[in-house]
Amino acid sequence: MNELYELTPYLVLAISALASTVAVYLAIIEKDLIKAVLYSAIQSTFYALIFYLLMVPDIVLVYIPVSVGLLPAIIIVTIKKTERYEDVAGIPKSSSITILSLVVAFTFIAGYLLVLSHAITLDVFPSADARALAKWFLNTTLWWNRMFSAMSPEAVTAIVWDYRGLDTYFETSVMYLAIIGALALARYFEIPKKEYREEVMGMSIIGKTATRIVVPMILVVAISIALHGHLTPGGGFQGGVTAAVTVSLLIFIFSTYFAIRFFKINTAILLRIAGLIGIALSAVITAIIAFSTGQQAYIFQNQPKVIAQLGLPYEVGGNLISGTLFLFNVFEFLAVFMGFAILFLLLSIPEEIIREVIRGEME
Amino acid sequence: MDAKAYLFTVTYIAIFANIVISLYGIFVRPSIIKKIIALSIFGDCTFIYAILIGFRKIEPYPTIPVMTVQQPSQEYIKEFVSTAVDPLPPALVLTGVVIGLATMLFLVFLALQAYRVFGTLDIRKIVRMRG
Amino acid sequence: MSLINFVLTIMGYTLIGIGAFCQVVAGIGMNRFPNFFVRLHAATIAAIGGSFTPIIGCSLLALSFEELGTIRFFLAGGGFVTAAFLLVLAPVGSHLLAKAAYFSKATVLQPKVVDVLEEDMRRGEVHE
Repeated sequence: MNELYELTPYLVLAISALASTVAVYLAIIEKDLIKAVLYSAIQSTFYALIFYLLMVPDIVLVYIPVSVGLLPAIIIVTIKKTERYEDVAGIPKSSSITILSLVVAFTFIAGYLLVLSHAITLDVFPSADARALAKWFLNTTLWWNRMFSAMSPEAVTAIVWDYRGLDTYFETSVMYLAIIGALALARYFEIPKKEYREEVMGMSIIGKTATRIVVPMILVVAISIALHGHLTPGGGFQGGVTAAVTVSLLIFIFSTYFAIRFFKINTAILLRIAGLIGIALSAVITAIIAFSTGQQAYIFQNQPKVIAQLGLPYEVGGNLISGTLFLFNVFEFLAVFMGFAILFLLLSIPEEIIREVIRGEME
Repeated sequence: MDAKAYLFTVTYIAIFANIVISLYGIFVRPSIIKKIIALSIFGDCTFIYAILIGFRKIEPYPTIPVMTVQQPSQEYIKEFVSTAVDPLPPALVLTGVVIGLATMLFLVFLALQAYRVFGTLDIRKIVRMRG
Repeated sequence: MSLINFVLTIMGYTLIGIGAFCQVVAGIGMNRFPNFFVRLHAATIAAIGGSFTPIIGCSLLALSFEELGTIRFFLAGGGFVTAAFLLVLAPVGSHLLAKAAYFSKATVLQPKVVDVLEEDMRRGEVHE
């Protein structure tokens, strides 16, 4: 009986993986694109269960709003603006079989190499020992010696913003470039000034009342997830994508003309720029303080190191705030939330206005 | 091999199959939106691979890489290091998921622009129109 | 185990069992019902009897499980809040589904006995 209890997580892991394979197969084969999106949402639910069973709750918090909420909503809006069915007639069978065999061969080679990369034992099942790097991260994430530690009990947030802070800086810049690209494609579009009339626009009164109650709760929960990212699983990214769900809810249940009352596009761009400036300042704040007093410091420095003895305080009045991690979480929440709000608002502009703008541009 | 290793291998092979099917979907299916859906599925499979590499075999089950006390003693740190999952893969996947969403949004804007200019989202017809 | 813990454990297991039974019944109903709107009844049984009831059962089980320490109160509290949100928001979702399916004419309305909404629309009391 005890062995059955110990076997249960692995059993649920295997069943979820097989169910997700069925969902992926149905999603790719399906010709009706809306059903394909729904099958991919089912696959994302099973993947969220797999992430939870593999003991990484930070990713579950960011994966569920992104893959089950935001991405299907975006693709369904796109399908409504373009074609709904996929025309599969005319693909030669020989070329598709060739491509399938090449893909299978590539995956087997790449997968075998990945399996070998466990690097402790040449076995499929991971060993009971972790890598030396993982042991070093886990040892020093909250340690009595401040010089070698990130002073945060959350190892994942400490890695994202302290040990490997430069990676996150470049990741934020990649997201920034994607949003600039989307804004450039939509440079002459504006949401027209139309009066929002309560009776005619949007869904029924039941939906609107429920949304009015739930949207402030979602915002509060998102801010709470962002603020306690250095203590429990959470952080700026998780809070940002959870808050971005409120924008899509407002656009779908009420209408775009109601959402534009709270999130104007230019205000959202300004707040996003404020968030990005906050991230840049938090990265160099230790360096600025140190250079102005004649000491040495690194960028992205959180706690004092051996040759750079300046660092931010890690607790305020007995509560742990872990230096720059708290500031990074707050500013990243603002930047991510406003970035996705901009993209949702631009995506929901009706097609007639866009067609007029494009016809005017092409003539 | 015992039951746990067998079930873990089944998970590996199921993720293999997901990668194969989504790559087939990217290359063979002609609609741009189907390619975008398959690309997002492919990205998710890669994230699962990264997390599977960082897993550990502890009896009865490993713990999350988050400490639950704020003034840990030496014994607590030793036990934490010996039973916690590797914290580096989730840090990489975290940024990956958000970048994936931003890239998919940009691709969707491109697909909408292509539809407005060419009138269709079938990639074979677009190639014929441009060539 | 003390008496209260025993009673809570039994109640928790009973509620989870009721939830499993409701899920199976909803699955059979989804297959055999003829119409979209009747299938929506089966889906709501899966949402309320199959999700809300087992969450309440799990919270009661957690309350009775002494080995967890004081964490079990936080677990049970989270479970009750989630169940309350499910209870309020799942009917809203099915209402919006039914409204959208009716007004966009996405489904066939057979077999139909009486359509009161159509009579109301013809009389002009309901628009859109």
